Amino acid sequence: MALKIVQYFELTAFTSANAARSLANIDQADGIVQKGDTGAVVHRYQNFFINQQIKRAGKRFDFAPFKMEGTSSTLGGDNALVQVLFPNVEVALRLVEQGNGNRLSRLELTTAWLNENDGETKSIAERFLGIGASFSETTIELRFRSAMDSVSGKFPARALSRNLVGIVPLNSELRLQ
Amino acid sequence: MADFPSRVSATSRIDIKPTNRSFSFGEYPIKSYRSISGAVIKRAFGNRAFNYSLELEFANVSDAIVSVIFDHYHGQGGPLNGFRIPDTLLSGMDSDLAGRIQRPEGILWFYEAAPEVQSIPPDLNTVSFSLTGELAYQ
Repeated sequence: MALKIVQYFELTAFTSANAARSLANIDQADGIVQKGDTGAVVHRYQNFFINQQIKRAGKRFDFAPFKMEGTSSTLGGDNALVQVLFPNVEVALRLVEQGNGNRLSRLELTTAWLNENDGETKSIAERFLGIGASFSETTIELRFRSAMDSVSGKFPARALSRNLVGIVPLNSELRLQ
Repeated sequence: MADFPSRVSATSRIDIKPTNRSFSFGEYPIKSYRSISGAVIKRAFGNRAFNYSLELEFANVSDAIVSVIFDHYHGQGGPLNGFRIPDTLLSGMDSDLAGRIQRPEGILWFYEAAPEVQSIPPDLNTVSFSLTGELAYQ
């Protein structure tokens, strides 16, 4: 069966110290809670409808030729890392610069499946935090990671202390008797 | 953006018409996965066609026409800038079909490579080049 895939890119870029306060309001379960977002700039783009503006959930998304790649998941529950590639154009430069090099930005990326009549059949929204950007002569790569690492299997972490193990060794030699 | 010239000069009556042409309808941004069973899954990532092509040949034309094409090619920065094509490049074709080829939605034409010229003195040339119709990001 043929399907059409559209991605909606909604990036909130923070321009000031206000960012730190807003980035602290992250709730992985409920999504990113936005509080006190004054000073933030929101960019909305979609990558399917060429040179068209699409209205979705009351928001307007302009066309931008971006693509997302690199997401992965592991049993260890590491942060998911993704890259969003833009052509090296003014719009993308603004995205990076307004988010302080994409270090103070938050991304909601929604992938939607369309039927033959361009009607949306289902969608998945993912949320990421900006961790930087890189430039080449033709592309701008925005790098993101998931908002929070999952809880590791060794929780709570164990600690070596003199009370638990006696005299703590000063080197790595083991002597069996 | 300067349109492809339809005449040698504004005051000239000599149209620049190709003697031979071929074209393709463009393609869509679709990726396919074919499973080991032979079943195929297709996914589309854009709603418009791109990569139209129009191959043109101008046989036995004068040096003046070659000069006009030369100037237009360099005026566009070679394959850098897109442009529109005039009716003369599709002369002799049904107007309905010509309109479809001339103005696909959102498409601008680009030189695919530098035009090639066979020069036969005196004042006879054969020029050939290909244009590519691309979706220009505004």
